[in-house]
Amino acid sequence: MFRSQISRSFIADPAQLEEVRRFVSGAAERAGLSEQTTDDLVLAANEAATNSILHSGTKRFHVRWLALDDRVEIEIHDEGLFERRILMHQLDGSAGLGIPLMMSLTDELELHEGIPSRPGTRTRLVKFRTGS
Amino acid sequence: MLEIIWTEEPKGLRLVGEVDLATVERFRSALAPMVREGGEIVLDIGDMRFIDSSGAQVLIRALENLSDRGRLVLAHPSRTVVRIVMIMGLQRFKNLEVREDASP
Repeated sequence: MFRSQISRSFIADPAQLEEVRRFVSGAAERAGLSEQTTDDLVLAANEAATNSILHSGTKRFHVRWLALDDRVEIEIHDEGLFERRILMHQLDGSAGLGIPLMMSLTDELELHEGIPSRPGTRTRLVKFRTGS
Repeated sequence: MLEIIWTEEPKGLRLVGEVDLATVERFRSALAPMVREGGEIVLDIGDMRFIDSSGAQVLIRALENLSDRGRLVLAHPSRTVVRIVMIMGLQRFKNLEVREDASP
């Protein structure tokens, strides 16, 4: 059953991450999610947006929030390319933790990589509602 | 936004705000000289509202560099910070202490 959907676009600038987190936590609060679920979604969405800003070369990215009866979904969509590379802890320093972290924080993680013939990387984060 | 305050007693930093892509470099460079010096470093994070994976990576690097020369104390962590510490397994570092506020 459809419940609510909100979308917002952001400029791909690190200073916007605070706004992304506020957007997600506000939507989560309105959807009546627990603090723990809200924290996890804020953190996961922040990592996805960070990846768009850092790696995709996009100028803007879009965040879509979808709240359904049994779950919430957040989609982060940019207009860039996904840099396909295996990260080496020794060489890449702080890079490379975002995707495993998003996996641990969500129930489902879907990544559609932007490629030259079809730019735009899309990250879909799903968290099921718990309890009653 | 992140405000960094240097503290002498105990030696460390008080972090107010959020560690993310916009602020992580300042956090990294504030911590680096203390890690080089070694000993106990207390990070008062009672007013740190958020930390991302790059901020957690700064902590991991500091713990690795300190090794047996020193330790890191995270004082007054918020729920969010404890969550990321647990999920990234930072509690496995023997030289990390998460000093949670005693419940009343």
